[in-house]
Amino acid sequence: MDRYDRHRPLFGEEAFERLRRCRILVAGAGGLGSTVLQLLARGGFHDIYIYDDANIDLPDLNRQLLYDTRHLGRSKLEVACEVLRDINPDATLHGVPERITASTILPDVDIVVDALDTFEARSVLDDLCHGRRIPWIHGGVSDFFGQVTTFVPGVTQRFRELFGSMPSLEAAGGVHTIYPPVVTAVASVMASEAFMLAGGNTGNLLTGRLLTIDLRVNAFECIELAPPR
Amino acid sequence: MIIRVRLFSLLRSKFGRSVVDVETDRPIPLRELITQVESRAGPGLVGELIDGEKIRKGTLLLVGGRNVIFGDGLDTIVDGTQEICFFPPSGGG
Repeated sequence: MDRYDRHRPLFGEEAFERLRRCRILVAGAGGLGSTVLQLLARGGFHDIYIYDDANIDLPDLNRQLLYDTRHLGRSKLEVACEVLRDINPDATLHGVPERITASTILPDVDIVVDALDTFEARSVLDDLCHGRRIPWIHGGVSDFFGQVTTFVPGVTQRFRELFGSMPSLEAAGGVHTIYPPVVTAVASVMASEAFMLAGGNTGNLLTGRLLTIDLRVNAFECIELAPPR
Repeated sequence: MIIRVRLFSLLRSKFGRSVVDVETDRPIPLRELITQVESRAGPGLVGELIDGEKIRKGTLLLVGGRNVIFGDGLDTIVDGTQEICFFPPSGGG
């Protein structure tokens, strides 16, 4: 028996080995990042890069499942790595105590997961991933709502092409109100995209589709997106 | 022809509708469609989507799976063959 016995058969040995060899980067270890990272570490991703430069504040604890009251004031990255190592010592965690910026040189990874919290930061990530031809999984949340899609350079529209120019967090009021369950719902779909992409089961990914989630009315709906121009 | 518009997230909760059908005898510009949707969904929708002559920042208007700001914007002609979706996407994480 090993820790992957309950889900490895769902992939098959070959696909699971691909997943094990996949190098993945999670940008942000906040709400979405907490759940995504736990699922990746528990699920057998071996090389996980984590970028975050923030500390843990009290309002984070309603939804950021890696952290608890003992961790207040500490670095998210530091605590995330500690907790994830306890969850799965088999995972190799590469923690980078930085925000991703236009000057960031992404490590050599196969997949990037967007667990960021502003449209500006995502636009930067879009440029970096597009330049390196790295597929990336986008998720966003606010109030009772969220959306997920997977961008594949050259195959799907880019983030900038889909979303255009969105207001900064300050212009949008400065802080997002967020229903905690929608964060884990969106993050779970994002992690599933990562599992499928890494395992090579790419036929039904959210590439070219935008999944919208509305937990106020329990609606999960897809919008078909046009191919890139 | 029937032009079907899907509303999402905050628009859905504010106007209590997920779908609004607009009947028209000709293709119409998106700007006119939004006015017609407001007459069915309730006052305030135009203001949610349009700021003066421009699409309000933070609003995503998809016609046929494309953001109209990179095409003809509010002058985009719609005719009932495209999927039309209006919503403010979620930016938090």
